[in-house]
Amino acid sequence: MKRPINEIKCTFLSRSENESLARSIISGFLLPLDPDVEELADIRCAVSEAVTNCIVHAYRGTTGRIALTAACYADRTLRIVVEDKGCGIDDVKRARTPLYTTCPDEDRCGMGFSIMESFSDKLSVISKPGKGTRVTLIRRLSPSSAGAADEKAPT
Amino acid sequence: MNEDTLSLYYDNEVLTATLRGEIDHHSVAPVRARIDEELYRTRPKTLRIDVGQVDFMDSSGLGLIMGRLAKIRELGGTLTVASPSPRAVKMLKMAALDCLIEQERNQDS
Repeated sequence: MKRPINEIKCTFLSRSENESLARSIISGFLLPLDPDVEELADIRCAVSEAVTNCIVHAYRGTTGRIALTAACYADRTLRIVVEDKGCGIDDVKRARTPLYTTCPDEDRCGMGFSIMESFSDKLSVISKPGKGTRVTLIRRLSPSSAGAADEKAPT
Repeated sequence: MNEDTLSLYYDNEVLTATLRGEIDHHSVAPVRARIDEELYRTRPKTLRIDVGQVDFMDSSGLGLIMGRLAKIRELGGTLTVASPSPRAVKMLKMAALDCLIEQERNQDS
């Protein structure tokens, strides 16, 4: 891929209060790109799902660092990566099955990956048990309509 | 749990849980505990989850609803989801929970 127009990389602890922080960070990165209300909401939700997975699964019973990277390219393609060095996923294909969860007793409904997939153009999940997981979401934003009177996300 | 996140109202065998703000994994645990406490105390015929004031919901919110559905069914009751925004409807549909959405009440009833 070509070099991004803008990029942010940050890490934070796998504390659940940082789920909201991650959403704020991605909103902050996206707003200058003039996303529409739906795509901003979709991407915030997808990031929330990915970060929650790190907290609930990757670093279960412990605390680790989550790396969030977001990059935007000239054609308005976004590349968002959420990465951890947690326990990893034994069977990625099974994990990505809708409604599959290892934690039904905790009200985990097993829709995290399905939601990420619905809200991105492309989702890739690479994982190694005992090493960690990297989730990459690609989504191309709709054309910016700066100046047009349609529904844009509030600043 | 922030007082604003959840309020509970019981009347005429309907327990209404009104959620506000952002419902994610972090905010959901105390909400779940409080709803369940009230559910077992009041044993309503219907649990009504009002999401009209929810600004954000991810799969943790869906899990909350699915978990409460299982619990109310154990008690022989039903669950409805009230006032979902178009965004909330989109999320509910993904988990096939849109069947729980309360129909608009008539003026007369």
